[in-house]
Amino acid sequence: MTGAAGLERGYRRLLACYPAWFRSEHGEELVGVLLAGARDGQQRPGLAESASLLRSALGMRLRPDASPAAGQGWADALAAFSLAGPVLLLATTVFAAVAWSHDLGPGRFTTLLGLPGFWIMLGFQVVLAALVLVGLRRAALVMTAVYLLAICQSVDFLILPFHLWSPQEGVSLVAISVCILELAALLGSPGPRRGRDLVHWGYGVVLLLCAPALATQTAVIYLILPRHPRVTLLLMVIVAAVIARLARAFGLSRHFRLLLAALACPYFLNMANWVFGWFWFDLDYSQWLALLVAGPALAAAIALISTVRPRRRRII
Amino acid sequence: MTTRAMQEATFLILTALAASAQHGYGIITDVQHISGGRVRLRAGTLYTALDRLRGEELIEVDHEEVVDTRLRRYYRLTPAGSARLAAEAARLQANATTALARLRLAGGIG
Repeated sequence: MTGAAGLERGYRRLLACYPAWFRSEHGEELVGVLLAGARDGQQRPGLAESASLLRSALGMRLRPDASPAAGQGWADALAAFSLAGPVLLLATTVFAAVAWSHDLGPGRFTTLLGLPGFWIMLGFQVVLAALVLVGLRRAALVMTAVYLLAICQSVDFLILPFHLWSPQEGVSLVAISVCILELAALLGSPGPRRGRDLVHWGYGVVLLLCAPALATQTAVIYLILPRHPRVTLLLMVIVAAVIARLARAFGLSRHFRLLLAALACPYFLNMANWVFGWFWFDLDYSQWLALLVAGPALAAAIALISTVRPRRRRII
Repeated sequence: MTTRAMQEATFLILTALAASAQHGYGIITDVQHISGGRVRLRAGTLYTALDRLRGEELIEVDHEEVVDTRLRRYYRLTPAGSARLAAEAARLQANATTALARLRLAGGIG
C-alpha cells in the first residue's frame, strides 16, 4: 500500500463519522481537498486535522440543521414521535423500575417490579417499541390502541391505594400520555419509517435525558413535595428548562419539542395542584386523570388537525 | 430587525467567493491569503460552513468538474450572499472608521 493510498484510507475512515447524507453530498469533494492539503510524503491524517474532522462530524450529527432530511412541520414531528415515543416510554419504565427497585419501608410505595401487572405492562411496551423500530405502522397502531385501553382499564387499580403520586401511577400516566400522542403520530404521519430518516443523535441524547427525568418526577414529588413544595417545583422547572434548551441546541424541530412539552404537562399540573392547593373542586380519580392527560390530548388533536387540514386544501 | 455579526471565518469564505467561483481547496488557500496567513481553515470546518451557507442560500454550486478522478465542486455567491457580505463589510468599515477617528482624537495614532 502506498503512502497516498494509506492517507486516503485514513481520511475515509474519519469521514465515516459524518452522517450518510453529508458523505454522499460532500464526501468525495472533501477527500479531494484533504489530499490536496496534505504534506508531501504524508502517510496518515494529522492529529489536528483528525480532531477537526471528528469535531465537525459530531457537530453535524448533533445539530444537522443542514440535512435535507431535517423535518419541519407537524407531519414530520409526528413521524419522529411515532418512532421515538414508544422507545421513550420503554426507557422511562426501565429507569423507574431500576431507580425504585427497593421498598422504602412502611407507608412508602412498593417497588415497581413487585407490582402485579408490571411485566405485562413491560411486555406491551417492548412489543410496541419493536414494532415501530422495524417500521410496522399499522401493527403499531393496533398495539397502541390495545395498550391504551388495557392501561385505562387497570389504572384505577394502580392508583387507588396511593394518596400521593407513586412511581406506579407515574409510569401509568406517562404510558397514557405517550399512547395518546402515539395514536395521533401513527394516524397523522407517514409513520416510523419516515421517522427513521428524521431522527438523529440529538434526539437520542434528549430522549435519554427525558426518560430519567420523567421516571423520577413522581417519586421526587412523593418524597420531597410534602416538606419542600416550592423547591420541588423549582427543580422541575430547572430540569424542564435544561432539557428544552438542549432539545433546541441539538436541532430537534419546534413541533417535536412541543410534543415532548405536552408529555410534561401532567406533572406540572399535578405539581401546581399540590403547591397551590387547588384540588380542582374535589374531582374523583377518573376525572382528575382526564384533566391530567388533557395536555397531551390537546397537543395530539392540534397536531392531527394540522396534518389533515393542508391535505383537504390540496384536494379542493 | 438587527442582523447578527458574521463570524470571521464566514466573512472570509464569502470574501473568497466575492470575485469568482472557487472550489474547496481554492477557498482554503484564498482565505489564508486574504487573512495574511492568520486564518487557516481546516477542511472539516470549511465544509460545515459551506453546507450552512448553502442552507442559508448565501452561496450556491457554480459548476463541477473531475480532476485526476476527483470531484471538484465550485461555489459562488448568490445575490443574497453578495448583499449580506456587502452589509457586513459596511458594518465593519463603519466600526473601524469610528475606532480610528476616536483614536486620532485621543492622539493614539497620527
